[in-house]
Amino acid sequence: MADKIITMEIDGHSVQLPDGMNLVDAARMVGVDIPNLCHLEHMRGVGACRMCMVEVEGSRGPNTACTMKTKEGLKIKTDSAQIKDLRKMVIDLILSMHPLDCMTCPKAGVCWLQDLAYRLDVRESNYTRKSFNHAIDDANGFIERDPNYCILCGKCVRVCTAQNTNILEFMGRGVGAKVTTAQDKPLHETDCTFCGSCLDACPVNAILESGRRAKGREWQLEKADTTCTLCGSACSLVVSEGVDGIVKVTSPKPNAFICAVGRFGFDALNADTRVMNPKIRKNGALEDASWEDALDAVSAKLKAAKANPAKVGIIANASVTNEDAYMLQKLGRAAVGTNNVDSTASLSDTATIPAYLKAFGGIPEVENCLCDADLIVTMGVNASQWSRALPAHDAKIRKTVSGGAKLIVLDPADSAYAGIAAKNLKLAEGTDTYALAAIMAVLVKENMIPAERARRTDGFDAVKAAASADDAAKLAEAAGLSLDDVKEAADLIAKAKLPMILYSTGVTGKDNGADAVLSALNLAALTGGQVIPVLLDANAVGAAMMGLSTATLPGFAAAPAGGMSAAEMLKGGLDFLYAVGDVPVSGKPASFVVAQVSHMNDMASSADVVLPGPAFIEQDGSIINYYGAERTLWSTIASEAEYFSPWEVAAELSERIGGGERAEDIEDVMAEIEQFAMPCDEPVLNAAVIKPSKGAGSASIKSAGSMMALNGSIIGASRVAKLMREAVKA
Amino acid sequence: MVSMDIDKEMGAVAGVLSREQKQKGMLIHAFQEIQKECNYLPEETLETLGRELDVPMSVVYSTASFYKHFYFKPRGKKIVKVCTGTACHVRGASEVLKALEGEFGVKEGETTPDLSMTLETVGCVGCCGLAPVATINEDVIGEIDMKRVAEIIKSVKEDLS
Ligand code: SF4
Ligand code: SF4
Ligand code: SF4
Ligand code: FES
Ligand code: FES
Repeated sequence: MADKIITMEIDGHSVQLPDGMNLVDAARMVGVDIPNLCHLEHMRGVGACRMCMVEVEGSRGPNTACTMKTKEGLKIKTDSAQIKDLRKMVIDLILSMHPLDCMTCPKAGVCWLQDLAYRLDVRESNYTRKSFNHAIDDANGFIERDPNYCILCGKCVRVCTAQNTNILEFMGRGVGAKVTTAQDKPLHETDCTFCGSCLDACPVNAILESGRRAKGREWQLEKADTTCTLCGSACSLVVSEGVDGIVKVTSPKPNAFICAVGRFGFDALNADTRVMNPKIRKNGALEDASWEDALDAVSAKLKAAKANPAKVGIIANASVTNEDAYMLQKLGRAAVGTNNVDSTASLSDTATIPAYLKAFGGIPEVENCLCDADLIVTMGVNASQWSRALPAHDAKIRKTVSGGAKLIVLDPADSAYAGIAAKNLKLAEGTDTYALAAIMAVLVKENMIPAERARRTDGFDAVKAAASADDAAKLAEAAGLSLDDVKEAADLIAKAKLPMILYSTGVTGKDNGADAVLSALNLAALTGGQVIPVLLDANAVGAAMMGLSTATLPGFAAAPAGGMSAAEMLKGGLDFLYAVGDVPVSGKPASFVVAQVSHMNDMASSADVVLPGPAFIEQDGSIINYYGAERTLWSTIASEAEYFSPWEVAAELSERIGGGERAEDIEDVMAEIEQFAMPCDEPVLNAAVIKPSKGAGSASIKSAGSMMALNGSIIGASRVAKLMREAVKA
Repeated sequence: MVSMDIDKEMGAVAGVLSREQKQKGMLIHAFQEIQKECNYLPEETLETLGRELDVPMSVVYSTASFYKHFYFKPRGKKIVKVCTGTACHVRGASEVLKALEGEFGVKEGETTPDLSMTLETVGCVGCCGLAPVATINEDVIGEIDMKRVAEIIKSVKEDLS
């Protein structure tokens, strides 16, 4: 949506800004930092702390900028002497109730109160000191809460409430007011998920990572931006490292979400189950070996197996990087000559890639953030912060809804979103295509959408014609819905400015999943909306784009038919299998198995050669997230494990078995990948009429339990495993 | 238990209220009913209430704790409030408090295990002329000396038999 631009004045300078934007956020865009303590970027201001006061021309007293919006002709002063005095007074008051122990406080350097006191030169409070001796809540092993530092800004309350976990609240009022849990219970006795959103939001030392103390001053820490690959949410992370290793993992923005696994799972990197060096099976047992010996053993086997390429296979967990995926499939396709190359993504989703190849010839980047949607439709999405299935997706959906978006749930199963849905459409099993066709029939026949809404598409008239010929009542009935419900849903979709349709394993595991995805794409195109595939693997899209899939070659070119999928390969019978990362298996799927893993898992336990690989946070390269957007991974060297990246091993093996000279460094691989033009810069939907059908079957990996199924060896090695067990119980 | 049809109770006003405001209204109304019945707000009852109204426990407790007159622990049959306002303080309120604390083995703000009495303090009750002052339920007792303290004790204990 193109925002209207207005002209206004900040501190005497004329600036151009989007209309109706929060003033604190807007000022930041033009480099003016309006001091604030209770404002959360991109959330509605609450005006609680009074730090953000500005002078507004034509208005008598000062106003709080966080509760104001940009508008044409507005003139504000952010830094007058009067404003400064007022701010000083606010800080002065807060300091009278705040411990003055910056010399040992772990938040020194990132504390907003410290920063503002410094900027305004308030050394000590002029008011009588008050202290409350609130009890500290620190028995849970993840988060320490010390309300004595709390400045009652309410940010933790607002992030916890917006994501629907609702643990923290203001209790009491007046001087004794306190931000805490119901009945002041310790966090581990509440339903807290230990996501730590409150940690990132807290501007002071009232909420702190357990074990953070005395591990290095904030300004001594090295920070690396990377991406979590432990689930399909693929969250951005900031890893902070001190002299003795990782001190904390945070989210790059105080009101973005990362889950307990991404935030606190880094202790897994040095767990006992970590594979520190290569191992070769000798006399039935895995014995430590050098890389040289291990690679000799593997390449000798692979050279021999190459004689029968149809019996050689490669499967990687789709948390590997693009570079890994590309080189792994190249090893298979070019050096060995097999099309048996796949990733774990196909275990939960056999619909997205074929549907998108048909519709776009690739997976285009989703243009908008889910947070921009004013209507969300979920189809078979079973994300949950509590049971820890795509927790960040769950938080995002809930945050968008608590921000005012409407939600339509299309699901045969009981959805956890029923309670926050504007419309809960409980379908008959497998009838997604009927329900979508019914909605489209209503929309087209009742002329509910303005013509300019529809997106650039080919063959769309046929889709519309088909919809107008359809009998909405019959379709609704087939989907087990009442026509009224369908009409109400259609009405909500038609009224929305930006509807976004999210689908996941409830759809992608069905045999007609691809048709359901194509129907969703048609509906989105018809209404000017967008579709977001909710995938379980962090790099499901990248793996397919790199050709690590039986359906695609690099650059989304169609792969020759006949390659064995991961599920087929795992049934057993191969001569040689190279498995990277957690690949769910029972028994030994090939006569010779090479497992490259960061932590021991089932595959590695029965493997003939085990090679150490990087764990999350240690990966270098890039992935493509569920938005179809590229994310960079920067490794933090957090363990003594002697690992090489899968792409390096694949390149080395290629060369050794006669696949040509190996790529020396990651830039070489990236350059090679660049040659494959990714066809989706200007996506045009090739709309196709979808005949509704009843789907059957289900994905072998579903959202529920997916985190452990796909990355259990890493997660299980961390202290967060305890939370996962509780999640299963709950 | 409690009638919760807020739209009916509030009539036309309900239409202009946000979901949060309605929830708050409903909660406070329910708290009053519960407290009338139980004399305080028992945890299990609040949990049921939260579930029924689909309001998180944090919000339930936040809303209740905003008001001084909702209690989260059982309260005694007799509520004894010792005034600790300036006048009473000067004229020995702390002695009175100490004597009562000693006799019943509770601290200010606590209730005796047999639920006969809750001991509290209060700011000036407006009878400074009679300082030191205490109230037992609605009754004001002034000019408290040790004899009067004994009377207070007696009246609390009397009720037990
Ligand atoms: S850790 Fe997450 S769920 Fe727990 S209190 Fe903080 S924000 Fe709420
Ligand atoms: S705990 Fe931190 S974020 Fe929460 S209200 Fe207090 S100061 Fe603000
Ligand atoms: S595990 Fe998933 S939700 Fe948690 S931080 Fe990593 S990507 Fe985000
Ligand atoms: S930031 Fe505006 S009042 Fe706190
Ligand atoms: S101070 Fe006790 S009645 Fe006024």
